[in-house]
Amino acid sequence: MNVKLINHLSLGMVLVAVGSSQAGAETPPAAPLPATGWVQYGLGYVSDSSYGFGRYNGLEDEGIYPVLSFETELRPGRPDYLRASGRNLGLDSRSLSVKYGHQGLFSTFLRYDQLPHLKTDSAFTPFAGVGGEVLTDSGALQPLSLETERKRLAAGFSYLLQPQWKVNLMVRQERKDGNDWIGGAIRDGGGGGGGGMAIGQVDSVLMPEPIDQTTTDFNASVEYNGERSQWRLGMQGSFFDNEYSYLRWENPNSTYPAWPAGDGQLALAPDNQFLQLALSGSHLLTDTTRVTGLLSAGLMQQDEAFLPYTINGVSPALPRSSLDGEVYVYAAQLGLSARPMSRLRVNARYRYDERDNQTPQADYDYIILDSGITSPTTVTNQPLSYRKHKLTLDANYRFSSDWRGLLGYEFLDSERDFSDVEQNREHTLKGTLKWHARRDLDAALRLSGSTREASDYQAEDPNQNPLLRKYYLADRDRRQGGVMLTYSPATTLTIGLSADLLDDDYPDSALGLTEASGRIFNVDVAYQPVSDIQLHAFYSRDQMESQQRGSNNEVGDVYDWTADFDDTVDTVGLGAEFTGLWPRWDVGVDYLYSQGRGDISQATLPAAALAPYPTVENDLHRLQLSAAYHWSKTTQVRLAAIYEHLDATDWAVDGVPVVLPGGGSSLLLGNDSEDYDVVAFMVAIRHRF
Amino acid sequence: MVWMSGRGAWRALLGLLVVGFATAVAAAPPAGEGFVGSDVCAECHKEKFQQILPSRHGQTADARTPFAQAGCETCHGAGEAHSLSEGKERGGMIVFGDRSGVAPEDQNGQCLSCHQDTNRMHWQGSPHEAEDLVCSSCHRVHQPDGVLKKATEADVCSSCHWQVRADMHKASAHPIRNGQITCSDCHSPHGAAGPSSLKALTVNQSCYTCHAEKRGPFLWEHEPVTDGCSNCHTPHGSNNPALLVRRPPQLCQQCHQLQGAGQGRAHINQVKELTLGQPNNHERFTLGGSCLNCHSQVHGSNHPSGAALQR
Repeated sequence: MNVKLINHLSLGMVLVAVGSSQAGAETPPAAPLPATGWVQYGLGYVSDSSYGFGRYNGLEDEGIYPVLSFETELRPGRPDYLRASGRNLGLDSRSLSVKYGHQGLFSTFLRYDQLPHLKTDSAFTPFAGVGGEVLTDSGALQPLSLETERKRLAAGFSYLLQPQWKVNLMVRQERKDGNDWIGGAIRDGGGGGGGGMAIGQVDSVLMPEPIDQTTTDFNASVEYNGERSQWRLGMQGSFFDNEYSYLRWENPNSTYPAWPAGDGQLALAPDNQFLQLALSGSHLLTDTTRVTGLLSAGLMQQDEAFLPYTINGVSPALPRSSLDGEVYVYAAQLGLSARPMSRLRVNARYRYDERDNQTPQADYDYIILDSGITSPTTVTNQPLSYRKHKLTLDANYRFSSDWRGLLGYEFLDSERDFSDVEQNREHTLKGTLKWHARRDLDAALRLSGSTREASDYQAEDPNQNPLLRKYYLADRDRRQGGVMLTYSPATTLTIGLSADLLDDDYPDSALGLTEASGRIFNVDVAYQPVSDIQLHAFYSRDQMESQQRGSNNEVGDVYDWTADFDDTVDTVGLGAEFTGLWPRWDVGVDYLYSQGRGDISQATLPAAALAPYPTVENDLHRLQLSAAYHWSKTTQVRLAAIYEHLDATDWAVDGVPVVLPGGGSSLLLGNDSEDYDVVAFMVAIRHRF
Repeated sequence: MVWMSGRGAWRALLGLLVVGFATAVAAAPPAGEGFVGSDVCAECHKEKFQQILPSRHGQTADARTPFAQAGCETCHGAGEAHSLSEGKERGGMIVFGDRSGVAPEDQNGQCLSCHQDTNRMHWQGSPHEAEDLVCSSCHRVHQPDGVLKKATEADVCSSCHWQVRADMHKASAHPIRNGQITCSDCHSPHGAAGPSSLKALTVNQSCYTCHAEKRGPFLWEHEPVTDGCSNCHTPHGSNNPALLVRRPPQLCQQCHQLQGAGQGRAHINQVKELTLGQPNNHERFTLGGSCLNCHSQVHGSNHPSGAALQR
C-alpha cells in the first residue's frame, strides 16, 4: 500500500478517535432507513352464517372474505418516523392506524376503528318502521335482526416544547348505529280513572330501539416532566348526541288483540355533555420518597326538552320544559410513597370523591304509562349525590432475601343524599406473605377482612319492606384469602397454581342479598423443551354463589322465600407452537374450552322447594390451527383454520314464543340462543420488507 | 514533507470517512470510568445489538435515547469488568428480568431514569410495583414489544392475570379476545389515580368512555347506577347476560321488596317461578328481558312520568 495513503488513513483514524470522544448529543442525523414491515393478503372462507360466531369479528356470513393486514415503518430521515398498520381491512371489524413523528420532538396519530356487535338474527317483531322512532303495527310478525356498529375516528398530537414540557391533544368521534331491544309497557285497558291500576293491567312488548348516537371526546393537556417533578394539567370533554329522543309505538293489536288501541311513548337517552379539568402531579421529595397529588373538577350536564307526560289525550302542564341537569364531580387525592429503610416501603393515600347533583327538583305528575290516567300523587325527583373519603395505608417489608410481607389498612367513608343509608363506613385489613422458598419455588399467601357498617337504615320509599337491605349499602362482612405457587423446576418449565376465596355476609339483611361467595382456582403451565417448541396449558374454575331472601307477604314480616344462585365457569386451554421444527414450517395449534353453568333454585317457607330454573349453559369449543411456510426470506404462505362450536341454552329465550302462552300479556322477541358450528379458513401471503 | 497537500487532504478525508463510518453506526463511546463502548458488547451480543439499533432506543438523533448517550451501557451499566472476565462475571451490570437477581427497584430505576413522566408518576405504590414487577416483566426492548400492540397486549396481561383470560371467554364479555378492546383501554399498568389502576378517575367515568348514553344526568336516577356500575356489572366477563353479576328478576329483587297491598306491588315481592301457562302468569316477569320487559330504563329515565323507569 502506498505509504502516503497509509499515513493519511492513520491520520483519519486519529481524527475519528478524537471526533468520537466528543460525540453524544451532537451525533449527526443518521441516514434514512428503508421501509420495514409486512403486508398480508389473501382470502378466507366461513362455512356457515352465524351471528354468534361473528358477534364482534365481522365474520357472520357464510362465504369468502378478503384478508388484508399490514404493518410498516418508515424512517424517512431519522429520527422522523412514519408507522402505519391495518388489521382486518376487508372486514367490518377493521382498524387502521397511522403515526408520524419526529422522535424527541413531536408525534401525531390518526386512527380508525370499526366494531360490530351482533346480538341476534332470529328475533321477530310485530312492528313496521324498524330503525326509526315511530313504530306501527305491521299486521304480522316480521323477522328482526339486532345489531349495532361503532365507527370511531381519533386523531391527536404531542409536541415537546422543550425537553421537559409537552402538550397533547386528542380528539375522537364515534358513531354508533343499528338496533337494540327495549321494553315498552302498555296498559291493557283495565281499571278506571283515579289512578288505580293493577299489575295485571300492565303488559309489555319488546321493541327494536333505533340507535344513532355520536360521542365526541377531546383530551388536551400540558405536561411538565422534570427530573424530580412531573405535572399534568388536562381538560377533557365528552359530548353525547342521540339522533332519537323518543320511541313511539302503536299498540300491536294484530298480534295481541286484547290490547286497547292507542300509542305509547318512552324517552330515549338524552344528549349530554361532560367537561373535566384535572391537575395531577408527582414530586420526589427525597431519592426514596415521592408525593403524588390530584385535583379535579368536572360537570355533567343534560338539558334536553322534556317529552309530554302522555301522547293520549291532553297532557298536563309540565313544571319545567327541561331538566337543566347539572352534576358536579370532584376528586382530590394525596399520596405518599417512601422507602425509609432499604427493607421497608410504605404508602399512604387519601382520596376524596364527590358527586354534587345540583339538578333542580320539581313535582311531576305521574301518568301511568301512556294511559292518560293521572295518579293522584305527584313524584319529586331526587338529585342523587355522594361524598366518599378513602384512606389507604400499607407497608411492605423485606424480612430477608426469601421473605417479604405486606400489611395494609383501608378506611372508606361514604355519605349519600336521598339514599336509604346516609353513611357507610368500611374498614379493611389485609396482609400478604411472600416466600421465595427455593430458586425454583415462590409462594404467596393473601388474607383480607373488611367490615362495612351502615348508619340507620331509613328507606326513601315509604312502601319498601323495612326488613330489606340493599346490598351495596347494607352492613357487610367480607373475608378474602388466596394462595399462589409458582414452580420452575427448569428454566424451560413454569407451573403456576392459585386459589382465591371470597365470602360476603350481610348480617343485618333480613331481606335481600344475605350471602355471596366466590371460589377461583387456576393452573397455568408453560413449557419450552427446546427453543423451537413452546407448549402451554391452563385450567380455570370460577364459582360464584349467592343467597337472597324475599317476602311474598308484603307485610314487614320475616322472609318466606329464598333464592340461591350458582354460576360456575370452567375454562381449559392447550396450545403448542413449533418454530422451524420442520424445514421452513412454523406450526401452531390452540384449543380452548369454556363451560359455563348457571343455576337458580328457589324455595318457599315452610320448606317447599320450587322447581329449579333450568340450567343456563354455555359451552364454547375453539380449535385453531395455524401454519406458515417460509417460501423465502421475505415471503411466507400462511394458513389458518378455526373451528368454533357454541352450544348455549338460556331458559329466558330458548323456545320462548313471541306471544307468551297462558294468558299472554307480553310480546317478546322469540329469538333463541346463538348456537353455532362454524369453520373458517384463511390462506394468505405475507411479504416482509 | 508536505504534511497535507491538496490530494493528500482528500485522501485523509477518505480515510476519515472509511473508518468513521464503521464507528458511526455504533453507539457513542464510553461515558465514564469502566465503560467500554457498545462495539465491545456487540462482539458477543451481536443479535441483541442488531435488534435494538433500528428501534426507538437506538435512534441516536434523539438525545434522550440510550444510543445517543453511552449505548448499551446506558441501561446495563459499565461493562469493563464483564468484558475483562469474558462474560464470566457480571461486574455490577444490570441484567433485566424477573429472575436476574437484580433488585426490582434497581432494574426499574434504570428505565425510570428516562421514562419517569406523567404516565408513570403513580408507579410507586402501584399494585404492580407492590408485586415487585420489573419493566421487563411485560416489556421487550430488544425484540418487538407485544404489550404495545393492541392485538397481543391482552396475551401479555393474561400471562399473569389468569382469571381475566377465563373471563373473556364467558357467555357475556367485552371483545377483549378479538383484540378490539385491550386492557390498557381502561387500565394503566403503571399505576393511576383511579381505582384498580383505571385511567379514568372513577369506575363510572371509565364506563362512560364507551357508554356515554348512560351518563345522564337523568330526571329519574337509579341509585346503584350513579353509585357505581360495578354494583350490578362485572367488566371482564360473566355467565349472565349484559355482564350482570346475577340475573333479573332476582338481581332486582335483592333491592326491591315492598310492603302494603295494592298498586300491583306484589309482582315485585313474589318469588318468581318459571312455569309457563300458570294462572299467576310469572313468565312475563322472568322470560325475555325479565323486569326490563317493562322497566327498560334501568340506567335512568328522562321522561317526566318515568319515575318507575318504564318510560
